[in-house]
Amino acid sequence: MLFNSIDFAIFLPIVLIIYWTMAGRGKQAQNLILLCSSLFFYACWDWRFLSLLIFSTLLDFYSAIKISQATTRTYKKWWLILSITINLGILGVFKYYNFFVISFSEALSGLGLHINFWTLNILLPLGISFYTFHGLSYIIDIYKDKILPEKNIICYSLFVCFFPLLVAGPIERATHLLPQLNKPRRFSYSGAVDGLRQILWGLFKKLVIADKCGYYADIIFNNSPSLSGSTLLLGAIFFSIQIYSDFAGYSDIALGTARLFGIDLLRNFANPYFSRDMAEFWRRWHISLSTWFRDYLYIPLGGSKGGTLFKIRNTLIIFIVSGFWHGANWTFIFWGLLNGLYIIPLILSKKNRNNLDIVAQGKLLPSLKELFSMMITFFLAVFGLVIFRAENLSHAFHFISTIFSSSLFTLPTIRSGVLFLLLGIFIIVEWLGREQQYALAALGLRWPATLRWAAYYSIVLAIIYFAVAEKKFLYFQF
Amino acid sequence: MQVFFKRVLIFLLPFILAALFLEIYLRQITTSYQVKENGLLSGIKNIELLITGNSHAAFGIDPAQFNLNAYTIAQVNQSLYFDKRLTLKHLDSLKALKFVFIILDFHSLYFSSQDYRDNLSYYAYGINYKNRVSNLAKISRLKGYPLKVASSYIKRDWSKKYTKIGAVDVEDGVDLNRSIIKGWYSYAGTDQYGMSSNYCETRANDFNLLVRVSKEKTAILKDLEDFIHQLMARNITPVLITTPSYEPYRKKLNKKFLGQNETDIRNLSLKFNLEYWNYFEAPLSENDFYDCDHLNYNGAIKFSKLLNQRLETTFKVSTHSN
Repeated sequence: MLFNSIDFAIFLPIVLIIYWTMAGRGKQAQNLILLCSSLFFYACWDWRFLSLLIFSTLLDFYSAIKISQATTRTYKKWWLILSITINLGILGVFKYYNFFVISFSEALSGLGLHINFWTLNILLPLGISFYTFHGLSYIIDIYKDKILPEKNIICYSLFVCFFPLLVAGPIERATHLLPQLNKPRRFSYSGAVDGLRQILWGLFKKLVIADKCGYYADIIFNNSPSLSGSTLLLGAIFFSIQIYSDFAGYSDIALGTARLFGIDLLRNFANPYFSRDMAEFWRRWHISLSTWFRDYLYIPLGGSKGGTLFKIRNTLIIFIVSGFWHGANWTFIFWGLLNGLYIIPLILSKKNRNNLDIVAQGKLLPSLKELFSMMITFFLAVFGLVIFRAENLSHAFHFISTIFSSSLFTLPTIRSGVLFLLLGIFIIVEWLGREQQYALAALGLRWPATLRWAAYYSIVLAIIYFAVAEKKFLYFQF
Repeated sequence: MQVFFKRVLIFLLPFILAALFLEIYLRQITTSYQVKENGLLSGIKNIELLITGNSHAAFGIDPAQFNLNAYTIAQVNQSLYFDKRLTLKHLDSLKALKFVFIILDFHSLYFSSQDYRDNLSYYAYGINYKNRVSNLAKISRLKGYPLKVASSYIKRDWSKKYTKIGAVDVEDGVDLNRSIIKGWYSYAGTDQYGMSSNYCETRANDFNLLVRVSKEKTAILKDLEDFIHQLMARNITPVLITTPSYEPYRKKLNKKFLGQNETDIRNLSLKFNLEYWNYFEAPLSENDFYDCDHLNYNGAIKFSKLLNQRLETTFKVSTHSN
């Protein structure tokens, strides 16, 4: 069931009405309703993988209790290792087995040894990368005594399976979500309206901007050998906007939906394309994943405590692992590596924490210097994303080398006035709302109700008009 | 809470009413799928030649040009999966059926889903593509049709331009002044953009990509062989046909894929001792095409006459049963 489907438009109000009607019966009833709805939501995709989700949930639930009950450090560690091994083992089999087997086989054939290994013809269970990371963060936090284990199985299961975040995040932390689930939620009119506004903006991002850009990006990437450099550059920009709008749009819908149930989820995007350097970009892009890697990989590796070289090594490791998290393909690994390399000059010049504030805060327009920095950062991200989107590395290198050929100075083959108009409106709204949690958060709040409703109706009509079909969210594949 | 739900309901009321209206309206309008199905059922006992296939056959083969009593169930983007199931669905009633044209073009062995048209096929024929038509789509047209498609159908219905042809889902460029006869309707004239090198290249690239990324060939071939078996078991002769295409488009298709495709079809024809008529490079003029891979009205008549002649000479059939 996709967020942008009629199925979800029927599912959500039904769950919402039942949930708030039963609100008087306390948190246990609320959690149970949400858990059952979440399992139904997941089963609508493929009920066979429900058992995997339940197994993973139960494993972490009991491991956490065992860790907390352990009387010796060794016993505690044993349960931690068991849980991490099984979690990563499941993820490895479903997501990475074929990649390792094929890469190993190719490496051997390069040495003259031809061995045929078994490859698996299996589907990647939806959301496995996300719910595995949920579970891992919980287990590690318990091991480090940051939190106490959750004793209520329904509450813990809901932490892992809550449907707005189940399939593509944000990757929640037990310290943030569990305390909310352990309290009864009370209906807040302003919170619910805010949630709806965020859902509306998320749908606009996904159905109007991402899908429209994706349509052209697909044409350009699929026909790249016969297109000019200028068209390919346009394709790369379209894909960069597509992936941002798709995933940030999904996150907005997830956060807005959770807010309708009185639950706050972690923010996942904070206008990354308005960043002034790549370090700032990564503090604003897929925040829940970046901070996960920071807390559970970068810091355990030593973080920035050692010398510069040590810091660079750790940075490269987390970027490569983060790339690999996205999928079993060399393109993702190189994308991660390239982004790690982007950060190194900033670390060397100790400028990686220069831009911690919001660009042009309190001002209508950025300065020329800020604009220039944002443009440079944007194009660095765009070139990285070409590798991310390409079919393989040679496709990516050919794509980028064609961009830098003389055909860059010709007119692009694809010129869509409507899309440029939509992008213009989109960028202006995002820019004006950059200091808020999401672009629409403050827009029109002081307007007369009729004008505000007219604006909402315009967005809904644009969504209906431009939505071609129910297209999957890109991040479902990771 | 009640205030919130009340306001949301008021906000959504126009959309709910519009959705209801669309749902009811979409159930009333007629598609070419329904016209073809109804036409087939009305004369099913006398049909001797059944033409299956995708848009190349749907527009390119006119059943009226055959001496045998012919009917076309070919449809835009129709895959072999549907050709087979649609034919088998009616096979018991097709008492006079002697021949089935199976169209095998460059991409035929590489796709089985027809995108949203899977739902159109379900509504008209009851064929559920790999049991993937969702329950909601089964009961709601609004779910089954993409919104843009649904609104275009309604717009067309209101325009009254589609009254003569009697179906609102036909492609742009179709001759709306002729009604659907024996399941066939055609393109009028030649679309200059559709014949341009840019379009030919884009179209060929789309098919090249489909063939490159598809992993369905083995399953489709197996399903097709079963189809051929079932037809031959009833003494019905399948004839494998590749339809004509415009040269500049042909040149842009991947040579390796083209060669492999021809080998696959020839192997199939050898395996079952079937006729394979390859008209991919048939010497038709530019004026016979609507676009680079579809024949127009004139081209379809020319090509259908060629097929009729070959059918007569190969199988010595010349008597019209009607």
